[in-house]
Amino acid sequence: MKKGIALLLCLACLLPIFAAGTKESAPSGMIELRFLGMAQAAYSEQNVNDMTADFMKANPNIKVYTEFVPYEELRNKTLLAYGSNNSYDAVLVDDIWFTEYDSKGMLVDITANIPKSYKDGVLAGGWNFTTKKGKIVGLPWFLDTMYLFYNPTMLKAAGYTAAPKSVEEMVEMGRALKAKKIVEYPFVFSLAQAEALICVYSNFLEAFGGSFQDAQGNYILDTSGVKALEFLVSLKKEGLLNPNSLEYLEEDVRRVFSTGDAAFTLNWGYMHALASDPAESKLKKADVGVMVLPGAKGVKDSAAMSGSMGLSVLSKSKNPNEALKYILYLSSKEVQDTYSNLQLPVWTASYDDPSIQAGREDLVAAAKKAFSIMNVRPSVPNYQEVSAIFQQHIQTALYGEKTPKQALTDAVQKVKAL
Amino acid sequence: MILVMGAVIGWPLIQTFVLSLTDTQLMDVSAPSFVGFENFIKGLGNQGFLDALKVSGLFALVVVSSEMILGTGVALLLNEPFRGRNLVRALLILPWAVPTTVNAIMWRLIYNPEYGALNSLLFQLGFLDSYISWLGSADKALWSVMFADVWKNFSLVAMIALASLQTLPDSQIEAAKIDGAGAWQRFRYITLPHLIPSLQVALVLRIIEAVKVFDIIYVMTKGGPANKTRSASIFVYQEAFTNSRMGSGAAYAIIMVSLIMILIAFYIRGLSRREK
Repeated sequence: MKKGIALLLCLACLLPIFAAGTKESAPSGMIELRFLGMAQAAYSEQNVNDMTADFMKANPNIKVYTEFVPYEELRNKTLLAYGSNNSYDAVLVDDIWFTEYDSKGMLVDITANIPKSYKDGVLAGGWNFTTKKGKIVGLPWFLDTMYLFYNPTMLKAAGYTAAPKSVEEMVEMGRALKAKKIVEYPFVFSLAQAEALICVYSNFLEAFGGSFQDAQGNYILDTSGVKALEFLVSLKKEGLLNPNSLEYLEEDVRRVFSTGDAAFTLNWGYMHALASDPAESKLKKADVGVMVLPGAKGVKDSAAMSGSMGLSVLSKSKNPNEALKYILYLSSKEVQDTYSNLQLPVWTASYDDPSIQAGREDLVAAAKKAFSIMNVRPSVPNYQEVSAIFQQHIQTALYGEKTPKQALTDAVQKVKAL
Repeated sequence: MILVMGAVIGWPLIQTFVLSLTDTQLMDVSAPSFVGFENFIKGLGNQGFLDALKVSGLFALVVVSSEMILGTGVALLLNEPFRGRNLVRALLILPWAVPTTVNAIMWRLIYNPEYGALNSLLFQLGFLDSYISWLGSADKALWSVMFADVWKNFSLVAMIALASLQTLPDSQIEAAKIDGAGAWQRFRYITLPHLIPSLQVALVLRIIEAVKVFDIIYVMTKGGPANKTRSASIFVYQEAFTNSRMGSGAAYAIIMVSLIMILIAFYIRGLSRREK
């Protein structure tokens, strides 16, 4: 018994050691903030930590602890931490989550605290997804869409001197590339059972003039979304689509495109710099073309679906003013211009800045065009569940277990039953 | 002891049960309502959950039976004298010692459809005409995950069986040999009966682990493609955290725990019968 008590006391003495290992204690009077971001290529963890270090240097009374998780875990971690006694002060929010977070009262209304320079200077499209019920609940951090990346060198070898002007022309090019044995699978897309699949599908949905919902909010993919899915299924059946696409996420397709094993892919803007980076890719600058996805013939010229993200202050933050100061700093023009190598800024003026454009005029031009036409995925509180249902059913069609029409009809029925 | 058990196991179980009788939503601002056993009734009629239970059942059946056969076979081999036996015995523990997440990532690399070692090996041996997407094929993904799990866990069964074999007196085997018993007869009538009590322990432990499988599937496929590898545990996780329905998520979890308890009850019944 005595030994047991002595052991417990010894263990109790060790507790401060474990506590010290978790977080260094801040001096009294210091304000502590916790930020949850995403482990990704752009902005990278290193980028955000560097930005944060500069912020703390300028604000010596604020200490910011940063944490990063993969995209797939970001929403759940935010929600669970918010539900605990250890909520984050500021978080990164995908455009499809703003409605859900706002419906749960998690986001601080920052409408009155945003400087005029931000309201006027940030691209209008950014405020669209961070504004809910008339109040601004987040700062746009990056605007993005899945651009069409293509390999001009391969196209030239197949006899094409210009980029495709329509989806149909793109498929013709793919057929020629395959027939001439320039590349076995001209197309590769991220079609694993994940949000990336919805992003790819929704871009083609736009290209074929379809829509997730009608004006009343009813899901109509069983009618308006069939063509886009039939298109993807036909690419697979014809042997034009890399069959491994069904287990690929964005980083996988980047690698395939970068090794010259595909002529066309859809991916976020960050891929532009990496696709011709000798450390990351076998391709040279001349082998990488980027443009907004062309539309279907007779439907529209171009198509883009938003994949943007913003920064928000959570309602449970004990220091909302300092948290706002921090996210205002992260999204300031100066910081965004400095770290614009892999992520284009959200500031209108940056797009006319020659130093931002240098070496990537094609991407900046595509971005300008995309941001003016970009549509958004359904902005509903139960988006995650709706998306998961569509992911599963779209995959059943891609595997050939159901026809596109049947798969989408079943999916819409399931979604309506929620 | 009862107090400790009550605090560590009883209280969370009661909380989960109470949660399962409500329509609690994750982070919902409104107060949850009492819904009785509605979540359980809906759960048992939910095709998605039934499909997930089938995946868990198939996973447990294939994985555990493979591990029992493979583990016993390896234990028999390692019980025979040969040069380097101690080294091989030490190496046996390695797969089991690898953390599940690391094992899952390792096998994801091995299965990679572009540069995976498995594709390369099978292609060079002439078994494949072209590389295969193991985790991206609806008909291969679950089997691929099961193979990775067997690789990791067969060594646990082998170690338990080997420990048991070492307590089997050599005199029994020698006597059987003198009586003219062949290798199969010695295994069937002496070795196997001696092994069965130990294998039963391994069997129950592995069945419980396999029925509630989550981590290896979550890391390797996240339940895809097209939900073909979505186990019951992943379904519960998605219901509670992706769909934010904590109430019904708790009900599904209790249904799962009940199924596992039935398996444990069978085990305890079997044990007590043998003791009698």
